[in-house]
Amino acid sequence: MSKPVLIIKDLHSRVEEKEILRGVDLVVQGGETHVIMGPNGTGKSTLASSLMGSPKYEITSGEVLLNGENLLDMEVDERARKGLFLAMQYPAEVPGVTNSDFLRAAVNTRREKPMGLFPFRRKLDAAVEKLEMDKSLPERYLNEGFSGGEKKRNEILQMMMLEPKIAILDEIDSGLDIDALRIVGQNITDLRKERGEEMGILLITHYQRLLDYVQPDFVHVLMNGRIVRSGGPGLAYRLEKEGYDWLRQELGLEAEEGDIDHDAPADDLAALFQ
Amino acid sequence: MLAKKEFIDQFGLGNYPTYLPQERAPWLLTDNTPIPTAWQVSESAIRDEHWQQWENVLYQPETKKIQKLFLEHLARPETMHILQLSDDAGTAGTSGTAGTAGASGTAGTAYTAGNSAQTAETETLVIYIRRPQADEALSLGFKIPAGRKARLVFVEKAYDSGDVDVELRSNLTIYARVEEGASLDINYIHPFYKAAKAAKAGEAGESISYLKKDAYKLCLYKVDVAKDASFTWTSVNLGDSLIEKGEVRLNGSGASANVGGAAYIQAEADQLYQAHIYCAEPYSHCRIQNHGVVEDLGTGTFVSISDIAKGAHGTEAREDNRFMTLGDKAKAFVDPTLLIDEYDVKASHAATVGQVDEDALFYLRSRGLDLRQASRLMTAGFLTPLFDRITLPELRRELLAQFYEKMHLEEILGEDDDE
Repeated sequence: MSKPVLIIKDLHSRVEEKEILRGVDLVVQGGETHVIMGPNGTGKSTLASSLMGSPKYEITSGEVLLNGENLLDMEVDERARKGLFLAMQYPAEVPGVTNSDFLRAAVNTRREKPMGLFPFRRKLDAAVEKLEMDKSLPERYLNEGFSGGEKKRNEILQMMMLEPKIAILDEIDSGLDIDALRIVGQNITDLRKERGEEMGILLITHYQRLLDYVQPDFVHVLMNGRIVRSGGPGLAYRLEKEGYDWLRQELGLEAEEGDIDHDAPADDLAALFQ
Repeated sequence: MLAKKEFIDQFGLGNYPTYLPQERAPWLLTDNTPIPTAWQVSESAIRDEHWQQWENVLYQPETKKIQKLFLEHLARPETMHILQLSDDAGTAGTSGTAGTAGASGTAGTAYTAGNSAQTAETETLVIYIRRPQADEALSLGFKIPAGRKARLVFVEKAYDSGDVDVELRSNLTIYARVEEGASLDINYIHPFYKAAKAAKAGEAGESISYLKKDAYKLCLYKVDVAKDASFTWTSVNLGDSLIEKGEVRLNGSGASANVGGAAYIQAEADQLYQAHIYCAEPYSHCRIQNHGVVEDLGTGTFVSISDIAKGAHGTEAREDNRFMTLGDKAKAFVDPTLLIDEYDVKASHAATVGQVDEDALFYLRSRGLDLRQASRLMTAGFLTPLFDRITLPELRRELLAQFYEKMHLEEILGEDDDE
C-alpha cells in the first residue's frame, strides 16, 4: 500500500463574513504525526472542519490534495471514502441509530463487498474492549446520552474501525479524565504503530498532556489563521510552560487579534452603544 | 380464504390465540379458529344512544387542516362483538373451557395452561382484520375485569377495495372498559403491503393503491379506565391513509394512559392521529408520544389533548409529538393541547416538525455515508425506537425487517450472514 499524503497549500477559509484561515500550508504524510497547537479562536478547528468539508465554512482560496486528488472538489462523504477521517470536537448525537448499524454502514461504504457480520462484530468487540468501553455500546444509539469522555472514545473507536489514511483529531483530549486520556492516547499510539506508513495523523490540541501518550514528529503553532512556527516535540513543552506570549512578541503579533472567540457575540454589538 | 394463514406465516404469530368473528362480519378474515378460551364472547345490538357516544370521540379541535367529520358520515354497524376476559385467573370455570378449547387444537396451549396459575398473567389475543371496503363498519367491545391483564394485537391486512366511491365512511370502533387495577395494552398494526410496494415500483399485476383521500378509513376508540388501572394504545402504521381518534377517560385515582406510535406516511397517504385523554381523578398519568415521517406528497397530523379536570391534583401529563418531513411536498401538522383546571399538576408538551438535522447529517457523511444513505439511516432512527412499543417480539421483528427493506437499509448495512 502506498504512503498517503495530504498537501495543504495556502488555504483560506471563512465562516460567514469572517476570514479565519489566512493561508495555511502543511504537508502530512503516512507514518507522520503532526500536532497543531495555538490559542483559542485562531482557526485550529476551522482547519479541521474545512478539510472535512463542513458546510459551515467557506473555502475562499487555496488547494488541498489527498494522494494527488483535489479534495476540495469532493463531497464530504467522498473525502471520507478516500481515506480522510475527522474525530470531531463535538460529535453529533443521532437518536435511533445504533452504533453497530452506523459503523457497519460506514465500514461498508469503503468496501467492494460488504463486510460479513461476524468479522465485523469481532473487530468491533475487540475495539470496544481495547478502549475499555461499555459492552452495551454497539446497541446504544450513536452518541445519544453519552458523556463527553464516551463521545471522544467513540470517535477513536470509529477511527479504529474505518482505518483512515489521514486522521484529523480535533481536541480529542478535551473533556477526558486522566484515565480516559491515557486510554485514548495509548490507542492512538497503538493504531499508529499498527498502521505504520499507511496512516498519517493531524492532532489538534490545547495541551501538551496528550503528547505524553502520543509522541509527535512535528509540532506547529497556528495563530491568526496561519502556521507561524513549526518544530519538534520540544516546542510543545515550551508552549505548555510559557504560553504563547513569547511567540507573539517574537512575531510581533497583537494578542487580541489572535484571541477571537467565534462563538462570542459579534463585536458589532458594542458599536451600537457608541 | 387463506388470508389468515398468510398472516401467520408472515408474522410467525401462530402460537398466539386469535379471534376472528363470524364470516358475516366482512371486516374480518375468515377462519375456523374457535373462540379463545380466556374470553367470553357475545354480541349486543347497537342502539342509537350507544352510537351517539362516538360523537365526542369524533370531535375535531381546531387544527390547521380543514376536516369535518360527523357521525352521520359514518357507516353504522348493527351489533357490537363483546369480548370479556373471564373474571378470575385460575378457577374451575375457566380451566374447564380451556380444556375443551385445548382439545380442539388451534389456539396456543401455552396460554390456556397459563390460566391455571393464580398470578394474573397477561392474556394475549391477536385479531386479524383486513382493510375495509366501502360502507363497512365493525364494532368491538372489550371488558377487562379487576386485576386482570390483557394484550390485544390488531394486525390489518391490505385488501383491494377497488375504486371506492363511498357514501359512508368505513370504520372500526373499539370500546374498552378497564376495571380497577387491570391493564389493557392494544397494538394496532398496519404492516407494509407487498402489493402496495409492487404498485409503487410501477409493476403491473397485483397493485393496491393507497386509499383515496375521500375514502379514509377510520378507527375510533373509547376507553374507560378505573382506579389504578392502566391503558396503553400503540399504533404503528407503515402505509395506509387513516384517521384514528381516541378518547380515554381516566375515571379513578392512579389511573394511567399511554398513547402513541409510529407513522410512516408516503405517496399520497394522509394520516391523522388524535388522542384526547381526560384525567378526572387525582394522581392520573397521561402520556402521549407520536413520531412520524412524511415523504412524497403525504400528509400527517398529530392532535393530542391532555384534559385535567378540577380536583385531579397530583396528575402528570406529558405530550411529545414529532414529525420529520422529507422533500418539500410533504406536509405535517402538530396540534398539542393542554387543558388544565387544577393547580397541583405537572403538564408539558413537546412538538416539532423538522427535516433531517444538519449537524448529524454532516457527522454521518464524514464517515463515508452519502447523502441518501445518511438521511435514510436517520429517518429510520427517528421511527424505530417507537417500534419498541409493539408487544409481540415476532411482530416487532417482522415489522422492523419490512421497514428496513422499505428504507433500503439492508443495502446500507449489508446483509446478515449469520445464519
